[in-house]
Amino acid sequence: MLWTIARHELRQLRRDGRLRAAAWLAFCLLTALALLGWQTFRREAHERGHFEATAREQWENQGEKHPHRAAHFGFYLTKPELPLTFFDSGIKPATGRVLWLEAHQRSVFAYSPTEDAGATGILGLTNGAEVLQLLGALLVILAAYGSVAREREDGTLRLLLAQGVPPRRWFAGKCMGLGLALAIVGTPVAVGLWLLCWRADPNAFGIDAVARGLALTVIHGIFFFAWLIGAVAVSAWARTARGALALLLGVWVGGGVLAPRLASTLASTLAPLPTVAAFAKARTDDFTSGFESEPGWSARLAQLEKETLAQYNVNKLADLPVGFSGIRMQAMDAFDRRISDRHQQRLQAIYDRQISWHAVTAALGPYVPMRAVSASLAGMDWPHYQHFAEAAEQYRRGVVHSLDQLLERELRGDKWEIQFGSDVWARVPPFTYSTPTWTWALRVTAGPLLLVVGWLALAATIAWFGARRISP
Amino acid sequence: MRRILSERTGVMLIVLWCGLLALAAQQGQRHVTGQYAEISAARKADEAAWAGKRARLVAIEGGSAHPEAFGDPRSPTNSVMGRSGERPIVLVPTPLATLSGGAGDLAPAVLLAGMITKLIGPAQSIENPANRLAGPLDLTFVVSALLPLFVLALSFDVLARERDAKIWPLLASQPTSLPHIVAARLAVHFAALWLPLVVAVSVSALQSHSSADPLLPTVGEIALWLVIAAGYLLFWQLLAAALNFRAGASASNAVSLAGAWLAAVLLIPSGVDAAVQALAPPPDRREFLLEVRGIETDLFKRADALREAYDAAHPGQRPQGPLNEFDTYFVENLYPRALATDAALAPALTRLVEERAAQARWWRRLAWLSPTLAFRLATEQLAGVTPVQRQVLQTRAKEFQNEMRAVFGAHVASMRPLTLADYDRTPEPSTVRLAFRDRFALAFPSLLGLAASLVAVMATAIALARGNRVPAPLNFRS
Repeated sequence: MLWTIARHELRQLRRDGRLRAAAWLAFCLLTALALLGWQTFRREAHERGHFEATAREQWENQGEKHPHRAAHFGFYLTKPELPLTFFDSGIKPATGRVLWLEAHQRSVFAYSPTEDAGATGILGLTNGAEVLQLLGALLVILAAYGSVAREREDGTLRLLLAQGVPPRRWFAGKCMGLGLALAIVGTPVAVGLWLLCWRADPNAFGIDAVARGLALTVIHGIFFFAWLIGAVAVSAWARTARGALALLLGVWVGGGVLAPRLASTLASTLAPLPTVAAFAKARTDDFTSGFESEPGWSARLAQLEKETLAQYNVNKLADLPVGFSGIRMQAMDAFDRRISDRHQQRLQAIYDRQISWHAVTAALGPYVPMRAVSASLAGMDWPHYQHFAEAAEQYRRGVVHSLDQLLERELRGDKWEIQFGSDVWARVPPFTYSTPTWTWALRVTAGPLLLVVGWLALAATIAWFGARRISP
Repeated sequence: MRRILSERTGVMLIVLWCGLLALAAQQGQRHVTGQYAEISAARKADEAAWAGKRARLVAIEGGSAHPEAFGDPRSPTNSVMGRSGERPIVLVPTPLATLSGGAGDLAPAVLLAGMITKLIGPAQSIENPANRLAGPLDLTFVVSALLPLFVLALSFDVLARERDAKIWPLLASQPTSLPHIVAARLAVHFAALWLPLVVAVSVSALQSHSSADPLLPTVGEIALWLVIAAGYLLFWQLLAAALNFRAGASASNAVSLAGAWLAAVLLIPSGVDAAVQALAPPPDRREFLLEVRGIETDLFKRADALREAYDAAHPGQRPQGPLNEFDTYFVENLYPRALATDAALAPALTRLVEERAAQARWWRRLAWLSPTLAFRLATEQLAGVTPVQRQVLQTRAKEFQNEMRAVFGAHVASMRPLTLADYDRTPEPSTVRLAFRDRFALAFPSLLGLAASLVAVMATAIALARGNRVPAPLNFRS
């Protein structure tokens, strides 16, 4: 019986011309954006490689220079991207494309596309994942809003129940039919995306990429299934198909269009970040005046001079057998690192609170948490960017420290000027980075993941009671 | 109005609309207040820094204080060369800035400029980009993306409801014509949606209004914005009316309107974005960076030659006495190199600006494809928040840098100590304002596109209203 009901539902869906047209439209759009994303991914991978190689070459051939000036010349790094980026570019359109590592300061991602294009540049749908999640959910709504309510309006529900069809089985058959329809539409989409993912970068298509892809497929399945049974449940509860459609469209608009902006608004209002100027001032104040009862830089420098003179048993800095400027730079950077870490922890606490506020808007629908999970699995969410930035920061510290040590070793007394050439710059090891594994990605996105599953549970609960309530 | 109020849904929609407007208005006001606070803090810090340097100089000259290492106000390298010599160039928010957030934190209101400041640097931001990606919940977003949905919810069955209930012929038999009935109903919907918008926009913009600026132009700009919003609202209402004049059911109207919304708000902007990227690719910042570094490296290697060239061009500016290591580097290397770098980078910078402008041009050309895009672009341009408009801040900063160099360049090159008279000659950092005329000129094509859409849909609605006939059994004229 279940299969008969499902087949009937499938037949009805096939006959609905509007739905077919909408499905084709969504499919074409998804294909277009996925292909565009694929092309962009390949082009950018090439450009990134060229950029990093040229930047390294420029570092090695920067000419004879003081090591500290070389440290200010710095390095440019770009975050590597996983093949899944072609499908979900995550926060990329709004995030800086390069990190500039230089002396004294923790770097931030710079040169965001938004800076050049403005807010208009990120209007509409920007990647395949958005199309799939936003328009896919809309398609599910259009397919399912009338599944029960329409039969009630047409009077066929009364006939069916009079024939002794158990309401829950009929409900399950409806869901099965719609699910099959979704699977028929979704399978070629998924296969196509997998193929594109593989072709985007065959070398990077390893176990981690496959695991991320599988997790992404499963979570999309959960997401759409939540929409599907939620939509059928609303259809069962609603008196008319029109009412069901209005409610479902309301949830779709609230969760898909309004919630992302509401999330960012709530986050930035209730967990505000300091301005760049205020942040920089707080760091400078800590450096100048000290913090937690510790002295500021001037007092530390005086103490360092005293200790160094005592250590080498000389009366003035000019008589030191080592370069004091190197010692001073190392002490300054060590102090700076502590200040930087202290402020970074504060920032991180604010970021965490912001992410919690993002989760609040999941009450409006599963779209916001789904976006977070999807971007995370594609390796394009804020935690992935921060992971890369942290690795880059450790690298920066190592390089700057080695250059400061060079000053200590090669200079004498309180001299500052000295120059080194390409052989020294070439000895600086290149930056290497491994993207975190898929389990890490799932761990950092556990909250949003649970929220998506929570929406499925909620939809299933409404469906359970809705199926029991089915009446003509 | 009774019809709206008699339904719980209608009341809820109006309440929701007012809530969203209040939230967006508050956000806009917060954004602009933050910008004013940033401007004020930068100005205060600048005034305090320069006043402090001047006071120390007076004290040193009077013999009551001694110069500190790296803090001597007489030393040009200490006082005007580095970060401490930078001064804030300010872009004052326009009266409509509360209504459009633009690129948010990536569009700062203050740019620091000094003798050797690199003005090509990116906007500094510590914001979580996920917040930026969604964009601000400003009044422009609420009106451009959400207002059509409220029109849809209120007006999709403005006439079709009677058709669905099969009482349309009865309605048609009344002395008032159907177009008049539809117009009256839409007028009520218009008032229910537009009047709260008038309040939200006025309160938000006027509360952020600086008391130093005249009020009348601000009121004028608010009025213009509201007229544009009214036009946009009317577009969607006329679309709903046109669909209602067809003989379709209310459900079909709702689906058609939802489709139109989807196309205007999501699909067409996506297509336009892809087209713009293809027709005018955005500036390649990475290539630009490589070019900058290449130039900088080359000039660094030729530092001695650059200094000689500078000396040849500015005779009599060599330092008279011996310099310490720090000053030697600034005078012999850094300053002449900064001048040469600016000259060498000028073509690349011009190209960057041109590429950005070309992209903006394509956005303007294609905005008419979607009334939502046209509205959004026009209001952002009127608010002066687009990157092309904000370029003026960098241009002015460059001009200020040149003024600083004209005053202090000789001092830096010769290390001639600064005097009180030099301090008094320091150029004052300027305040940039985007003139309304320029903003309007930029927004005009998009406004024209919006007006064209409005006229087209109005013509369609009128044609359909004229062709609308009462069903045969009650059409006594036939």
